[in-house]
Amino acid sequence: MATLDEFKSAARTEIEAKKTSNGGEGLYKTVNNVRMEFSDEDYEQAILDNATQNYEDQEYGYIDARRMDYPSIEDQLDEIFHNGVDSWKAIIQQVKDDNPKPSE
Amino acid sequence: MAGKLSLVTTTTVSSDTAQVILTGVDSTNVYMLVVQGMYMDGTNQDIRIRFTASGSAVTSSDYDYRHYTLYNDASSGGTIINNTGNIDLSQGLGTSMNNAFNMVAYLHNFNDSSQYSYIIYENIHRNTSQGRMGSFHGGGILQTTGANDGVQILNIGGANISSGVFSLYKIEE
Repeated sequence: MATLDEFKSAARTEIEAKKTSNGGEGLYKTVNNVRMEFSDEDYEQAILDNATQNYEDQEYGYIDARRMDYPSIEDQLDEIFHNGVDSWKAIIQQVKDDNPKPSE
Repeated sequence: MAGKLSLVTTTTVSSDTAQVILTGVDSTNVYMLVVQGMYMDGTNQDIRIRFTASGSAVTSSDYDYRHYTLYNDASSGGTIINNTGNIDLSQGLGTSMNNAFNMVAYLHNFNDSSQYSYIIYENIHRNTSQGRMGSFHGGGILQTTGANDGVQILNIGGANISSGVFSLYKIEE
């Protein structure tokens, strides 16, 4: 598992390479319909944002992933009604296994 | 004239841009933000929003938001996030035709330096990877006092907005 500082280091390498001053294509913002390259401050914020997103995806991404994969409450109730609790538990367990917590 | 919308600023994106910033909130009126036909340059990239102060995004971890997410093929549910650096407006988005992001949002108390700033939003979108339709309905608050003059729309993972029309209207009283 990567630390936040490790994600920051990786993001810095990736984003520094994008600066036009480093030969990259640049990152741009459009302010009230005027497109311009990021300032140094914008690039620093992009590094922090990128690292934070990657770190949070690593630590908490399983929550959204599980939510997406769980059947609807109606379908879960239907599963219990027709096939019993053990069948329902197997379906839920499969979702958990497919999207493990980082500590698992 | 009472009872009308006044266009404050509009931005049409046709070349990749990492952020769209719309400013011009300069009164205590409610403002309406409209995003029409936005696409990303990569699949499964979500879109987020921050408020701006003097034209620069407020990046502190002072945003709280709550919304209900509705999907056509996955479990729907509520999301409650506190003390974060932006407001998440979508699932991963689309890159091509029929997978656009469209939104209307209202900005409250932005120009009141003695109150928190509020946003109420509702959007509809589809992603490309699964063809999943999603809709987020909710709102957020920047819990620091101070005047805000606009919004910043971005993906924090490094993806670009490839197209879309972004407009900010003042709701005249």
